[in-house]
Order: sequence, then C-alpha cells, then structure tokens
Amino acid sequence: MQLAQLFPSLKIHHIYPTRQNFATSIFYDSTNTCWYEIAKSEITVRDSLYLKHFYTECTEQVDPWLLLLTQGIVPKETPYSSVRILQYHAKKDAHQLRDAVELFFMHDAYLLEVSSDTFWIILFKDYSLEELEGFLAILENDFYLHGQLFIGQILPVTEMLHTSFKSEQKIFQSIQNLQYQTIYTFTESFQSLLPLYLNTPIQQYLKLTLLTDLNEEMITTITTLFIHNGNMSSAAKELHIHRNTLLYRVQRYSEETALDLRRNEDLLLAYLAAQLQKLTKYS
Amino acid sequence: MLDFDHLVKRYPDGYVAVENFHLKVEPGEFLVLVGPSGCGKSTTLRMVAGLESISDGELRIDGKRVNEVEPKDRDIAMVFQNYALYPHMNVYDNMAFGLKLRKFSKEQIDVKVREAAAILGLTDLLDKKPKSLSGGQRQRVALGRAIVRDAKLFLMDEPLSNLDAKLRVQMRSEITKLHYRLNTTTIYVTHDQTEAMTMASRIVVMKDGIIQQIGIPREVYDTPENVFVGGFIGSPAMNFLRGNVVGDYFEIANEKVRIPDEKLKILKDQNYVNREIILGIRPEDINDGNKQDSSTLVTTKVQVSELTGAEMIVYATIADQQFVGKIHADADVAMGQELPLNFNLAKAHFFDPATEIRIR
Repeated sequence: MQLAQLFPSLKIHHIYPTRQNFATSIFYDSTNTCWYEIAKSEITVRDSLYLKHFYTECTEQVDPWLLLLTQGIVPKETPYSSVRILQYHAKKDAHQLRDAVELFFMHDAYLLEVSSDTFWIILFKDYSLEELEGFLAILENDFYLHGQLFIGQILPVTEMLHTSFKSEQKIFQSIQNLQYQTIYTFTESFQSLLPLYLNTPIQQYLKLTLLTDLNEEMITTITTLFIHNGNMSSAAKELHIHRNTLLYRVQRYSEETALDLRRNEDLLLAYLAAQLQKLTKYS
Repeated sequence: MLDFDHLVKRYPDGYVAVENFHLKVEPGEFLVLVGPSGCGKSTTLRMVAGLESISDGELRIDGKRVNEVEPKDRDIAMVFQNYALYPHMNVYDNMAFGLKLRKFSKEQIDVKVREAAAILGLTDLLDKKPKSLSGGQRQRVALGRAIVRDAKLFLMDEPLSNLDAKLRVQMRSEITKLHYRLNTTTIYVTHDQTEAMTMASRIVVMKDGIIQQIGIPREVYDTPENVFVGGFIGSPAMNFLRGNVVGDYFEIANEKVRIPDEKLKILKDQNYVNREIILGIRPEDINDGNKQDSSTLVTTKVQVSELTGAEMIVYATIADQQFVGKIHADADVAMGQELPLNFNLAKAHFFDPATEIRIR
C-alpha cells in the first residue's frame, strides 16, 4: 500500500480506534471503510492537506452519528428508533449539498460529510420513494449538483446498525461499478447483484445449463418479464413486441431449458441466470 | 439554436452510451428523442444540461461551444420523471424557489409565479403542499417551475412516465398546447412511441447509443430506415415476414403476393431476386378490403381476433410466421379458420435480412 510507504507508522483499523493516542492522527477512508492511524511526527502540513482531501480526519470529538454508523455505538439518548440512510457520491464540488438537504428535508435529516465526495444523509422521518427520487432531481435542477444517490432501507437504531449499513455501502459500491445510473435503491440493487453472491457451483450451473445459446434479446425478455411479475401483456408492451411474440419466446425458452417462464419459481431461476450473464459479461 | 456536433459519451470502462450524435435543433422546435431504455436518449439530454460530461464532439447553443460551460450558466430548465418538488414548501414557494436563487425581486417573482399558475390551472392550489396534490397536479407544478424560469431551452426527461394512462394522454396534450403558447425550444425524451408521434415536430429514434432515424413523425412512420424503426414506431407494430423474391412475387411458403412494379424494379436493380428478404408491412395495410385482386390475396390462419369497436384486430399466421392485420369490425372470424387477406404492398417496405436496412 502506497500510504505505508509514505508513512511507516501507518496502522490500519477496521473498527474505529476509540482509545486515541495523542501522538497519532486518525483518518477515515469511506471507500474501504477503514481508519488509518499515522504518527503526527510523520505528517507535514502538505501531507495533512492531502490526507484531509482524500479522507476524513477523526478528532477527539467524533460525531455521534459517525460513531453509530461506523461502530454501532448507540448514543445514550436517542429519540429515533429507526432511520433511513441516503448515500450521496458527488462527482463535482458539492458545497451546496448542506443547503439542499436543509431546504428539502428541513429538520428531518442530518448530513454527515464523510469525505469531499462522500456524504451520508440520515433520515429520521419516512419519505416516499417518489419524494426521495425528487430529491435527486432537486439537486440537479436547483443546485446543479452532479452525483449518484443510493437510497437505503429503513434500519433500526441498534448496535447492529453499522453492520447493516456496511452491507448497504458494499452494495452501493458494487452496483456503482456495474451500472451508470444516478439513483439506486437498496432493493433494486440487491436484486441485480444477488446472482453474484451465489456460490461458484451454482453460478456455473446457471451459466452452463440455462444460458445455452441465450442472446441479448432473451436476456432482456426474461428481465422484463420478471420486473413485470410475469405479466405477459405489460411485459410485451414494455418490450414493444406483440404478446404472441412474447409467448413464442417463452415457449422457445421452455423447449431449450424446460423452464416455464409463466411459473414464478422458474422465472426467478431464469432471471438469476440472465442477471448473472449480464453482470459477468465484461468481467 | 442547438448544434450537436458528433457528440460521444464514453464511460471510463470503455462503454459507449452515445455515439456520433449529430443534429441541428431549430428555434421553437419540439424534438423528441425516443427509443428503448438504455438507448442513450437520457444521457444525450443530460449532456445538454451539463449533468454528464461530453467525451468527444462539440455542443453549441446559439453558435457558442458549451462543452465546458457550467450547468447553471446554460440557461436551461429541466423537467424530470421524478417530481422535483420540495415537500415542505407550498406550490407557490416551489415555483418561486428557482427565481429566488436567481435573485429576482419579490414583485417579479409574484408576477411570474401567478402567470405560470394561471397557464397551468394551478391558481387555486398555490397554498397546497405537494403531498396533498395528485400526480398530474404535481407534474404540473414541476412544469410551472420550469416555465417561470423563461429559459432558452426546455429539457424534459420522461415527464409523464409516473402518471397513469388516462392522465398521460391529458398531460400530453397540455404540454403540446403549452409549447404552442410559449414556443420554447424543447427536447423531450421518452420511450413511448405514441408520445413521440403525437407531440414531436421531429423525432429522433435511438438504439444502442446510435441515431437510427431523424424525421417528422409521418416520415418516420411511413418510411422507416430499418427494421428497428419500423417495429418501434407504430401500434400495433409493423409486421415483419421473411420470404423470397420469386419472379414478380414475394413468396412465403406456398403463398405469394405480387410486388408493385416500382418496388420490383428496386429489388431487381439491387439483386434481390431469388433471395430471402424481409417484408415490413403495417397492420392497416393487411385487411379484408379488396377481395377481387387475387394477386394481393393471401390465405392466412386466424389465431385470435379482437374487436376494438371501429375495427377488428386479427392475429394470424402464414406458414407459422405471425402478423397482425386490421379488418372490418363486422367480419365474422373464428379462431383457427382460414382467412384470405389483402396485402397492400404498395405501402409496404422490403428490408435486407442481414443488415435489416430498408432496400431502396
């Protein structure tokens, strides 16, 4: 690691080092979810500026929300039993994000600036998905902020919150690398990434058995049918094909794989296979 | 007004979302970018807005290169599929917000907001919060937020997608009327070909990041450049039947239809005789009208028929190839029966089976 070459004293922590040594400084790396502890004597003024640019410096007065999200340390008195966390990854200068959050959510949200391009917005009240999607539109339309928003699930405020949040962070990072959307929800991302978490023999099985001679058209067909809960008419409409054409494709697929896409169980299996092919296409 | 000069959007991993997008938009035009999801239409719009960087090519507004111009300095107003509304502000404040940011005076803001509210029928709702409005009303407020800006250019990204079918039809005509009234140059993105056909002054059909065809709606409908455009524009979609050019006829198995002289000459000139080609024919050009001319009559097998009121849609096959036709509403057809149908090839097109491009 390059940091270790620059700072021989570097120690990497995967949980927040609560017992602070006053001779060291600590920086949080949100991308890798870890903390770097470096001897202050090794950090020049210039180094300090660089480190603060890329990471978040953790001082003795650590934000209680940061402690909760990174270590699961629940504040003694918290009025909130559950929260939803939005992760915002800015692609350009995001200094106006705080104003936008305050205007949009008023007192219902708390903004944590994790690094210069990573922000966590903790929501205390429930907003509909439509409203949250509107938030991104507001960021682009009124504040000209360019970035990606990940909408997490509602999570209970317990000492396990940081574990769930860590999973959401991982999912956001993975989906960000695979798709080019500006907005992601946990459920959609989870569904898209699920095949990658299947063990290798099952992945092999799906690839070899169900994807024989499958083309892009069939992958899109299966995905659309799954999104439309197996409804032939609405899926055909979205695919811009006649319902009979869709039925024909379903029949042809059934002849090749013995999976009947009109049955939910079979459709799920075919969907996983199709997603797997899509996700591993360029890897 | 707006020049797309060979625009390209390439992501760091090499994926090309938009390729060689080249087009001039005239002042006051209502240009619709249409295509299936992932075709690059929204990315193109976002490049205009400055929300996506341009990898290659030049974008000019009023002759000036804007590739590097910040979004806030482009004088563009956007309407999104997701209603960009502040949940804690009432309709008035939502519409006024963009103007407050731009330091307009209270009086100016009041005039502009009330004017836009009157145009959009929102005057009685100015005190309401977004939550208490219907989907259609919310989208109208979102439109209002764009109108008050008096921007040079409107960009609309699937603004009707969140509305139900009935409201979509209503809002479609409202946006058209609004455009007629304001005459602001508009780029409208949709995956819905009906929206494209009914609203556009010009349509750009896109697929896989590449422009497939540019034209006025009638032109795109009547003379599609390729199989994709033919199949995408029109509902029910254009039928595509594979067959061979034999003599003066287009043959599918034992059925044959005479090819009109003008089209036959093109096929002969281009060496398509005795080769497989694709016939593209609209459902309305397959009918039960002319039963006298045996050279255009084909025996088909009915699968399903649907009475829509004024006409009957018939789903049938010729040698296992499916197609859709439109016949008289009072026709008596039964599932599985043989039905002679008239194929009007004068309005049909032939496509090369390998390239899927229209033969001309």
